[in-house]
Amino acid sequence: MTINISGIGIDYGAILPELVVAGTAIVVLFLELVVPPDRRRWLAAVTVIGLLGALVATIPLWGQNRSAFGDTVIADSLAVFFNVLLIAITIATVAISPRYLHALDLDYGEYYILILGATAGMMLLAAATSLMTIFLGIELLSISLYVLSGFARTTLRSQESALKYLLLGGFATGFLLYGMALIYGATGSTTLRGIAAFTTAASSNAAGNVLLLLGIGFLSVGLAFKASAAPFHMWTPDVYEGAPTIVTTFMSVATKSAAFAAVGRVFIATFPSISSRWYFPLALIAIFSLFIGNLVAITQDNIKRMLAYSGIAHAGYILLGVLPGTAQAFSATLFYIAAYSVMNFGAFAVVTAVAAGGEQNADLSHWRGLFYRRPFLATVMTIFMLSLAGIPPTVGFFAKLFVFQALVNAQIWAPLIVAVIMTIVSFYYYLRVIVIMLAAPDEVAVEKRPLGIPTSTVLGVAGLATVVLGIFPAVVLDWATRAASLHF
Amino acid sequence: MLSDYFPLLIFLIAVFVFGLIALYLPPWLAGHLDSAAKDLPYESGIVPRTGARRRFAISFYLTAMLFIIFDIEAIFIYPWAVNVKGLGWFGVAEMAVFVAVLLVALIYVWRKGALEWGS
Repeated sequence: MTINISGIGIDYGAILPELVVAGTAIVVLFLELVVPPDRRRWLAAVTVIGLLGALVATIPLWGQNRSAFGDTVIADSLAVFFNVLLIAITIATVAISPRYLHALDLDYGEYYILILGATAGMMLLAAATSLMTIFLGIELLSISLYVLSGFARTTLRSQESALKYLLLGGFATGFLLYGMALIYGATGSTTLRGIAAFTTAASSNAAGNVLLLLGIGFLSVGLAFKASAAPFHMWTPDVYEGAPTIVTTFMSVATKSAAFAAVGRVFIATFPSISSRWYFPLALIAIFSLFIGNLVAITQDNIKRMLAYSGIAHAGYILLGVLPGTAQAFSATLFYIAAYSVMNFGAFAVVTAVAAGGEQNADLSHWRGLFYRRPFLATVMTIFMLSLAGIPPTVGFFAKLFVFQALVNAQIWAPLIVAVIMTIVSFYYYLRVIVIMLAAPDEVAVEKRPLGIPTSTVLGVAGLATVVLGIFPAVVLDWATRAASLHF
Repeated sequence: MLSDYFPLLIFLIAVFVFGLIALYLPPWLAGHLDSAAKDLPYESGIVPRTGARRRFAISFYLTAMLFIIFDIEAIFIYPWAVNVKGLGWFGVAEMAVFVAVLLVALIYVWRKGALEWGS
């Protein structure tokens, strides 16, 4: 008996970037055994080289439409958009890692292996066109991040955050999987293409199919959890606060990006014919995120918790772009994700750099007078705060502008009004950080360590990108438009 | 559509009712006698000497984890082995990569000392 394997579309070229990242993880796993402990920086270098290789492998896939492995993954512009974004985030994370890990005595090679594993999962999630690969991607990134949250093994807060993330994450995965099972039961297919074919067929009456709608509901819960959108955000502040700051930096932007790639593929590409059914729940999640994120962030005195709630609020803004269900609106979402990644990564990276420089207390009161102690860090932090608030000429302004524009074009008023009001509310807590940094310093002697070239470079580039993209947003918007339009 | 799942509902109800019957019918028919001996952990009469909640060495946990990994490897190999002729050299190459990845993991845990017992 010969099995015909040509029909399932084996195409390693389509998943080459993911394979390179996973392969690098295995190489680093091996190197970790032979590299002496005082040379662990080499592992970071190998990791960056592997990620650059994945970047090279992903560029040729731009503009293609390569479905592979029986419609379970696709190499298209959307996947490339996210691959480039995720690889850039990971390279920046790895570049600032060694100094931070060294300062906290966490300099283990396993860190890079887990970061690479999470990245591979996120890239797979961005390229997934089947419920099974979506699940595989989410699990791969989640399990790596569970371990990374608890990476500071001797710190109780880190252990607590890992356990919380694991328990709640496992619960959310249960929802996700149950939703997938129901969708499969209702439509008879696990590939998004097959599901879309079922829902658009006139005979199926998909909008009245209780099983399908229940399944979509559970699926939304699982995805909203990963994107930390309210009311599924409970884990976010605790995990972000307890996890090592470098891990928070990575997961606050990378996980959210990857989760929204899946949201786009599922809701806009697969269920456009029943958008009347998912529009209201999704709008509600967006409004909840905007309210809870922005209002609770005001009362936070810990910068990591403040940024966690700000991240919840931004999940709301990003979700707004999904609501109209059009390519134009989704390109605004993609632009927002890219902008959010740059500025939020930058903000957390500053917290990381401050911690690596000897100030590990993330209470806002300890940031008093940072301008006088660390002028460079405080300056870039100011840029990121202004950008997160959405003040021109930063990229955050255009990100919000494009999303709001998309809502106006689609005549969606209620969520837009909430978003605008909440943006004004958010000014308070973002500007407060700047005011605190400018305040006269307490006379405390703080041990001060130099930042190092990689950290300065990453922060400088992120700060520069925030401003430059705020003046010339067209380049990224053009990419986002092309990535979003090929999707339909 | 939803009516297709009516048998499932009946099944759920039957499970629930059967559970109730099995739980409450025998005591009701036979009556219930309490004695101190019935409360002992072993009704055979062996007297327990320590508490049941003992602490185990962490090595058991590691060994169990390793066992699961290689157990799953075996589970993947079985269906592959049945179809190995049909899959041809492509299948052999795929399985070789799969086993190689697990081999790297085994070398890793070995070097990390997960297979050392009690040292």
